[in-house]
Amino acid sequence: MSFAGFMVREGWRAWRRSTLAGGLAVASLMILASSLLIFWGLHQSVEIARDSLLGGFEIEAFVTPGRERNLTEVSARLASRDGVASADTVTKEQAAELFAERHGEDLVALLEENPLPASVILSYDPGAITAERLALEASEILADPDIEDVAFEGELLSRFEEVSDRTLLIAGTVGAVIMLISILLTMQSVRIAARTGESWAKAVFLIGGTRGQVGRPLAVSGMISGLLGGGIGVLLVTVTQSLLASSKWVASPDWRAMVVALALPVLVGWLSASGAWKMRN
Amino acid sequence: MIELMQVSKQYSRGRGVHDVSFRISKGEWVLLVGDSGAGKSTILRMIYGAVRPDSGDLIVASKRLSQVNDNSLPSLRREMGIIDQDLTLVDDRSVYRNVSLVGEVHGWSKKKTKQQSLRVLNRVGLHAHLDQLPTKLSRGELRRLAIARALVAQPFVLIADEPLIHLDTETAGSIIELLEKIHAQGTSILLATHRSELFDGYPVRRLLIEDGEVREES
Repeated sequence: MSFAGFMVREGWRAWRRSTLAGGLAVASLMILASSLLIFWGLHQSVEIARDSLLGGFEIEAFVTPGRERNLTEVSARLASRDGVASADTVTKEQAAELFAERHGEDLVALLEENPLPASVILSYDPGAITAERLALEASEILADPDIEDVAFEGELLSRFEEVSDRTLLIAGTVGAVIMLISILLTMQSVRIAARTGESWAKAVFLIGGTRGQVGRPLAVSGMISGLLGGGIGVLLVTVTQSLLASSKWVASPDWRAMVVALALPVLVGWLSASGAWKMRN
Repeated sequence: MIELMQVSKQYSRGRGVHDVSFRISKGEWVLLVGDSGAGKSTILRMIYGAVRPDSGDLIVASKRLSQVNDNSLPSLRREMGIIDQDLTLVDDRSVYRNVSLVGEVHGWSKKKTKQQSLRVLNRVGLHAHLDQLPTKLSRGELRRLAIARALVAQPFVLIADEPLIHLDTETAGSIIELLEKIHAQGTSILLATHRSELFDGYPVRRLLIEDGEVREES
């Protein structure tokens, strides 16, 4: 009879024997896997929102009056800046048309001249710009003699970054506390579960069993708890994510996160069970 | 076969054994007699290595226990049949599987495990209870099961700690008869008991243990 077979069979028996404490271990390992995946998903969602915001982020650079003839050249120059996805020119005439469209008034007819400046609208690649870099970017563009002024939604970006950083910090702290509690709960419940097999362990020692023949099946029982708890946690979170997948703010299930969320409870279950039984001869 | 040489063991709570020496030869049936706490269990536990003596040494199956490390103890225990006071049966395994656990731990083939387990269960009279759980057995049957498990690997000695405890006289008598048959087939027996009167008329050697010391021999 092989040792591996003995180990797996007795590990499975030890897990079945553990009843309530085993169930508690599975539940706490499920919480561990779920909280890991939920935090991972939240982080991904914040990244999606950030990318979405930055993907549509624009700086409008207004050309110095009298230098409108340089508009194409200015546009090309600005387009070559790092992170710029596109540079669209708006001539004085187009600006007036836009004003008329938006406000219903023909400014040129009213003032008999067009006071609106030509401009270049810069769009940035997602992730190429941050709230911190924004002021620097604006001041560098403003240093161009052909540019008189710049306009951007700096406050919005800055506030988003502040809120998202705070959200991730709070979620990360809460997630870490939940994971720590679930690990402690797992260690305790696995220890109690192992004690339910005390007579089995004593019997194995009495009939000439080795430390490995007692300890390894218990470790296998901890891994089974981890596999079940992690599996249920991954399944629950993945199904929920799939149901919410129509929302563009919810990240799709990530296989790497799933592997980690499954492996971590198995590891915690194994380590907890390995240390649960004080080996005796 | 088993020899204790000036063995002492002191526990923090005060009890233990002091300077114990005796020898058990092959084929002997020896009783350690004495009240609870006299040190009988400590002596048995030292023989199978569950307790290490503070001083002195033991020779078991030609091996000095002081030279046997913890990793080698399991192989020594496989040569002995051990029954401790609470029997340590596994409640969620059937009668047959409690006995076949020995074969699984010793790494026997399935065929050998089955043959040996059925043979010994038949010998102790539990062949009709193979699929029952220990929780469904009477006290006498539980003793028989523990004896079967201890005997399945054909040990040179059967060591039992208070095997008659909590048994009525009739059931205790049937267990003693079973032990006599085992002894008659050549297995040495070492028992700790405080009911030595039940063994009157059997070929036993008695060692009286009092306050952790061997007082008399008869």
